[in-house]
Amino acid sequence: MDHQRRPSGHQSTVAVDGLTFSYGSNRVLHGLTFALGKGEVVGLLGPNGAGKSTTIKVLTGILAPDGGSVRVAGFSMPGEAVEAKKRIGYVPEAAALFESLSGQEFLELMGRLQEVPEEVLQSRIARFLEHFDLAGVRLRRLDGYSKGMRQKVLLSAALLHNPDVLMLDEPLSGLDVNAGLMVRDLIAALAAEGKTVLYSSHVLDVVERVCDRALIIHKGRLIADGSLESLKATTKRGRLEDIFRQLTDAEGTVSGVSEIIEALRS
Amino acid sequence: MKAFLMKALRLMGKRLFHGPAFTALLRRNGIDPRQYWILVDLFETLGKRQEVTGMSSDAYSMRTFTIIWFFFSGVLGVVIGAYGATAGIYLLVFLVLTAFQLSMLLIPEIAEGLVNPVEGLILAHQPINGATWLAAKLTHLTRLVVYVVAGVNGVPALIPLLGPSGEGFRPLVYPVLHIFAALGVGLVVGFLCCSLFGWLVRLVPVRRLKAAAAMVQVFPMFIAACLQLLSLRVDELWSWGMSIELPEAWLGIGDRVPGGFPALVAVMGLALTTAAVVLGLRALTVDHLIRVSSLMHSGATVRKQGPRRWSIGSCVASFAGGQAARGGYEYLRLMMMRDWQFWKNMGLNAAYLIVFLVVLLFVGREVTPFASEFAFTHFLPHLIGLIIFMGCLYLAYGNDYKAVWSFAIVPDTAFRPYVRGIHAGLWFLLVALPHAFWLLVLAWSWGVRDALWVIAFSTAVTSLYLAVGLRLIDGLPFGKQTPPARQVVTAAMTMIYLLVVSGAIGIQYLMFRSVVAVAAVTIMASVGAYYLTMATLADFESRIRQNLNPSGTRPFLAFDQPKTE
Repeated sequence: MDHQRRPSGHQSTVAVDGLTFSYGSNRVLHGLTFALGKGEVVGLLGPNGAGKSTTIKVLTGILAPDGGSVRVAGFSMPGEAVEAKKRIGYVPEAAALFESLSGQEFLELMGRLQEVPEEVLQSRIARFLEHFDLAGVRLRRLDGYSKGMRQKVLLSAALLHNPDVLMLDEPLSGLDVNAGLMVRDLIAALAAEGKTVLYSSHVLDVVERVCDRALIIHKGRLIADGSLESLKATTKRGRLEDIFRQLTDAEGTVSGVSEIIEALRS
Repeated sequence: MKAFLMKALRLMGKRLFHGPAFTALLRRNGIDPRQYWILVDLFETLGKRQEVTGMSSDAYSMRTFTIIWFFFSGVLGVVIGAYGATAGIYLLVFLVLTAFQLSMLLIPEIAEGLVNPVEGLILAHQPINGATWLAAKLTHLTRLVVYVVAGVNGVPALIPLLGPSGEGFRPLVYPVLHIFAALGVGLVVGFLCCSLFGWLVRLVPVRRLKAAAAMVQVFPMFIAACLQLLSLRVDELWSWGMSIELPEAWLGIGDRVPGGFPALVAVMGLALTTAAVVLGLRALTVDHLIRVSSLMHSGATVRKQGPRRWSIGSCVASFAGGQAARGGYEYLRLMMMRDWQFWKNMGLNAAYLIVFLVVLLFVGREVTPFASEFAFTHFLPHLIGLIIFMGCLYLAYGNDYKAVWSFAIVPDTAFRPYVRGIHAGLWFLLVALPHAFWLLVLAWSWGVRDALWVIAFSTAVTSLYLAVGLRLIDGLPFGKQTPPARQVVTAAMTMIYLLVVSGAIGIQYLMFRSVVAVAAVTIMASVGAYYLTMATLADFESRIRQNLNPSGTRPFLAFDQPKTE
């Protein structure tokens, strides 16, 4: 990708230092600090409401941080957000799309906004739609797409401009098994190409297979950051699921279950 | 011929706006020309395909608006022309009408685009700067200005040419002058409306922005109602204005300026307005696409309330059929209070009626309908009725129409109490509460007897209106997406309703000569309201079932209670 502006000095592809963010008076991120290197696939984990999606939104320039510094591909957020966004591919958690556009039209729009040359754009769209099994419905309006099909469109849109950084928020949501396996392989291949991937998910098995490293956020704070092996060694747990339970104080889920059953009986 | 002309116009437009001069102008203002045209095309496509419903700028809504206004403004033009108005007065009437109509359409439109932004959310992660996005949005809104100007002024600009008219109408010059003046007013109003939201964004915390935007939408109606109220006291206001003595120093400054003090005030006003518009627009260009997501996730928190021993909800549960009735009432109440779409549609229309109602009654409260002269309180049941109709019409179109599935798993037996709960809620909020308030006001002015008769009559009539209005709740509440052109069509229906009601008010005027007649009509209306309500609720219930399951079989039975022998 040939971008005219050069970043104002960088080492890591994504560098976050003391990031804080609030929705109104509700502080959801409390001083996150981490960095992502080139070619790394990093899992972003945490219970519901931990701040994963908010973190990704700040990193993609959709939200402006309250404090701390964020640099993506060498550009600081939100000051140089427009330049940074040219290097980011983003798959949002909630698939908002222009429902009245067809799959082809939506991808054309996203590619043109990212300044992908027309010939390259059309060729990429054709190939993505073919491989995601959407070629036959490319002219159908998006309101007629299933959840999985919409997710494939979002994944295609995120890749169209060949970004340096991919922020994937529950990218496998709604995908069938084959498409899920394909995306997993694709992430690995993209990392091998030198792309940085931040992968947020609740499906720990997939994170364990796809990611080299995991960041665990709990109540807006980063409580773990390391390779899966180092986390296993530190927590003396064999599986990511157990590590997650231990670190997020979710080991009491068994007593929680019995309390729910008790409430139903009352 | 038409196709050739359109093609030629398009070509000219393309040459002009895609040319190097316009591109350089865009660049000078921090706008990316390539992205600007992509976004302009996108907004046009989305408008054509009615992607964002509830907005007025889609092609279908605007065409409907223009056609309706061609007719109304034509009639108005003929009437004013027949009175022999001068060109200045004639033009002024239509410019004021254009400004009012435009602010009524633009403010909700801008609010929808900025505060409840579908496009913003989807485009937020794209590398688009705020100035480019805003420029494209403003360009799109200009279409609305053109439609309104054409609709309100197209026919009136030509009418003076067709027949004898007052002073100052120069053939051929007047129509062009009229249209250009209207376009100028339209653009000024457009900029003012946009800058108003810029100031809101600048001054109001994000979590309060949606509520503030909902209130701002009522603003033009509020101003119009206040002007109406002031017009009733125009003589007093004029003499008060004339009696104000300005300090000598101020007048001294005015003397040094060509045109005197009025010219100075006009220049200062113009400068202040320009500054307000420029600063307001700048606030919008800064980082709208960054603000969008915060806005969507910064809903106001709900005040925590403990369970109450007595509440209207518990009364509804006791009298209307249990917890399902309470569920219907509570959902209705919360939806009416919090639903953005409902507020947007209802607030705009109802606020004017409420202000109008209050103004009329306070002005006319000294004359009872039992007196020989005309009493403004004759309007009471019909204005409340209109509010009820609008409430019922818009209840179907909530923000969360996609949550309709949650009703599909409700036990079949719950629908009857559920619709009774909705009716009880509407009756309490739209019939009982306003009448209780007016009973106090009118009893204070007229004495208890007259007030009781008027309120009893009005309650019976509005209950009848509610029974009819419930039939306007189309299908399952509140699971429908707002259709385009809804507001435009509602405005036309309101005008027809007011024409019909004026006949009813004439009959009331005669009827209130006799207490016996009032009593008889009140009883008849009450009985009618009861039976009609029962029939309407049964119909409402069956429509809910039908809507959930058009095949006619019982919907999702998984949670149905087992039948007891």
